[in-house]
Amino acid sequence: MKHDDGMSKFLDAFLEEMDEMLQALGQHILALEKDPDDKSVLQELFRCAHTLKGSSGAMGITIVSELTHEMENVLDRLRNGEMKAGPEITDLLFACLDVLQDIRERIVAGDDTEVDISTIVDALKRVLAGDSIGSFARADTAAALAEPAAAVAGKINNQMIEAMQAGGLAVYLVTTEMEEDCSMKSARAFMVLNNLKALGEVLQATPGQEEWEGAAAEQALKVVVATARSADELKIAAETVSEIKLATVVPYSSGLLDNNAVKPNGSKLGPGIETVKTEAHSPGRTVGNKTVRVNVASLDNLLNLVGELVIERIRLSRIGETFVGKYESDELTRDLNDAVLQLSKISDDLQEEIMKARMLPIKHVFNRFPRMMRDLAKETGKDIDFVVQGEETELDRSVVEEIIDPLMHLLRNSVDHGIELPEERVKRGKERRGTVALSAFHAENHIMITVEDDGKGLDYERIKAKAVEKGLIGPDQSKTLGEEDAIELLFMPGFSTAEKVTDISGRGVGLDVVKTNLEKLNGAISVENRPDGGTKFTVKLPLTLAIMQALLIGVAERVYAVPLLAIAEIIMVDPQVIKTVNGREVIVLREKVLPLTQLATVFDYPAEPLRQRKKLYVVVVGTGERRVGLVIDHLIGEEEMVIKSLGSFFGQIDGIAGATILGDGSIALILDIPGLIKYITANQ
Amino acid sequence: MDEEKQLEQEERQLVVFDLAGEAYGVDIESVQEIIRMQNITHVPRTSPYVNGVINLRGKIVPVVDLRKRLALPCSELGEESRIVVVKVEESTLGLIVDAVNEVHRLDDSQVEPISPLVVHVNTDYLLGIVKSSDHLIVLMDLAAVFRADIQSGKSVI
Repeated sequence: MKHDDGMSKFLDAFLEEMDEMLQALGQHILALEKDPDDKSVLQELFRCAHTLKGSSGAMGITIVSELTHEMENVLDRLRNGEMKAGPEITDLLFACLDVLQDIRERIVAGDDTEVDISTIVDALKRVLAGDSIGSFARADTAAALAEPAAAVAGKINNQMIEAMQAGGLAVYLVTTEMEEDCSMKSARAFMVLNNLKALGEVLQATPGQEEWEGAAAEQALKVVVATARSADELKIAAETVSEIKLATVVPYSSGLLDNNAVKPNGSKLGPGIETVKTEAHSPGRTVGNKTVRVNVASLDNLLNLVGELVIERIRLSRIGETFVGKYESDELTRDLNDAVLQLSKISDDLQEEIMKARMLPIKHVFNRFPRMMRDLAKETGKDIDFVVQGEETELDRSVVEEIIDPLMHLLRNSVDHGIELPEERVKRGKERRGTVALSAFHAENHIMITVEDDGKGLDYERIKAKAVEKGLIGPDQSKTLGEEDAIELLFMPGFSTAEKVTDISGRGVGLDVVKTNLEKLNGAISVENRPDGGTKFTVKLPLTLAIMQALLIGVAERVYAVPLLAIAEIIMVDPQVIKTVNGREVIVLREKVLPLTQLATVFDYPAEPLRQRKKLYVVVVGTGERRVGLVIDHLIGEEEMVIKSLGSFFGQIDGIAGATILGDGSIALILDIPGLIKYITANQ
Repeated sequence: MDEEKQLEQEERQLVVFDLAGEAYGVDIESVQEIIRMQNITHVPRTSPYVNGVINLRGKIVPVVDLRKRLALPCSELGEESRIVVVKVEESTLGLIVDAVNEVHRLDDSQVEPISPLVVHVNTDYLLGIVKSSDHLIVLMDLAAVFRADIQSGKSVI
């Protein structure tokens, strides 16, 4: 196939589909591993492999079609019950998946080097060769069919259709005809098929995808679809693809396809068969799930523009207010203010809508974990049931990309440190199989993600002993530390309880990194522990990184914003209670020592000595050992703000995360609390 | 194509501004706009020559005191002070200058090499000198002036 400009669009669509199929394959192989006899899973696996084979064939990506072809052969044997899906086969299928993933990544990266698939194809062939009687029978069936493509596309039989209809689905035959001089017919056929797949299950397609390249591409494409949607929707879906001249949709009855009874021009349709004219569909009509793909950068840009719009709107409303003050009676003033009011409403809606457009279900992150957990369990010899909940919970895509690593780390931790070996679990009177649950839900305008295991839980004494050993705390300190403080030790740099350095965790990247990374996202992490009952890590994150809830504070005549999530509490302190310990000013808050730092001093602004002031506003940030009381001049208020970068000119400034533009057009710098605490502790 | 290039070479335009009693010029291509002085929000712990950031229609733009950056004597801001917003490599920057004078047309043949004796600024930052009918314009190489800043900024990001 020639690569011209139009190609990249198809390639993108293909890559997206491939990604979907690979994720589905991963899930189904996992399911197959649990229940090797599940026919519906095998059917799904076959369908995935088949879809991939067809679309990769249409795109001319032969290594994918070759590999999936072999997979299909094995899967076909499995679903016909001629072979059993033992562990050897599931492992092999996983290996195939890895190779496909690799190929996809290479295509995405524009890497042209050929991936060697001979080993894996050989393995698949060897598996096939293990059963010679079956292959004979298979050849028979294939020969009986006039079109070889139909053999792979899965024969439609009445039972299948009845099953679909019993399931409340209607089965239609969609016939499309392309413009005669239309280029890249196979790719267009692929698009049509893709669109139809979005609406229902494609039972059969003729000509088969393998033939699209050749003369068969000249023919009309016929697709049998089982769907809950209406015939109109199918028709529209097929005709959305450019240069599709005509699409007819008729209820499918057996034999319809083979007898070629339906003419694509719809002139000889039987009774009860609907034809719909090909004009552009009427405006206002929506097709379920109609989507376009948009570049993330352009969404980001849109969000920025809306931010600016909001700022200008605030300026306008200020001008409006001034006008009211000056020429109150004027009708024009009232008109202006009405318009500004309307504008506010529109810009708010616009902002909300764009934020929504940026939302993705967390499924995109969660999907990658079942496979990882399976491999981890295998490596460690543990028996683990991995449960995922709340996959549909939505969050901004900027956050989606950032939480993969922290979650991966927490999950690895729970396998490595949490869940015990099966024998040990039995000894402790637990079920042999441990459970790790990953869930997501919305709460208080945040997304909460929990990683919970029913393993051995955290051993406070062991944690403390480890911390002493690592020199993080002194032996005396260890005695006085409570349970909560012991947990805090886990998040200290240089702490790792892994007795042995495994491949899984304990690679020098500890929970401290997880915590720091989450804090960078204005998130927080907390731990609930039941010794011998398990551990639950809760990650709390803002729904978006672009907008943040913050407290505005005044320091040295300047306005700063503190992310609300980073604030533990705000207290008012009488300077009389300040004590000096080791030359540092501290107060005792709930029986714990809290070091005070003047924010003004940190930023090299002049500041009055603490004891000479009347009342002190103290914003308490950080947790445990890293808790700091920031002394500020006054509180201004809470506000929702759009976070902006200071740009590359400044690079990283310890303690400053970015800036925001306030309603009056002035700028407030946003504090980076983890960075600030680091700076303060380093400069004590 | 060639003709166009030649034209470009023949006719270059400079935005000419005052700084400590001397006229400096930067290529008009790198200038985005010239704005009046406005509130500048100070950013702590940055170089002394960085005054802070301004809100340029919703964009946060760093502002640099060009006198300080070039180690010229400091002075108070006046009525004539302006912020010249420039694009240096990928960064947008505001430069505080004493006044903006004119847009000067020149062709390359008018540019002469610098003699360290005539100027007060590190010659690494300069491209040459243009002799206009009644005065001299020092051609400034903005990329050279801010190269170090931009690179150190990038390395962290």
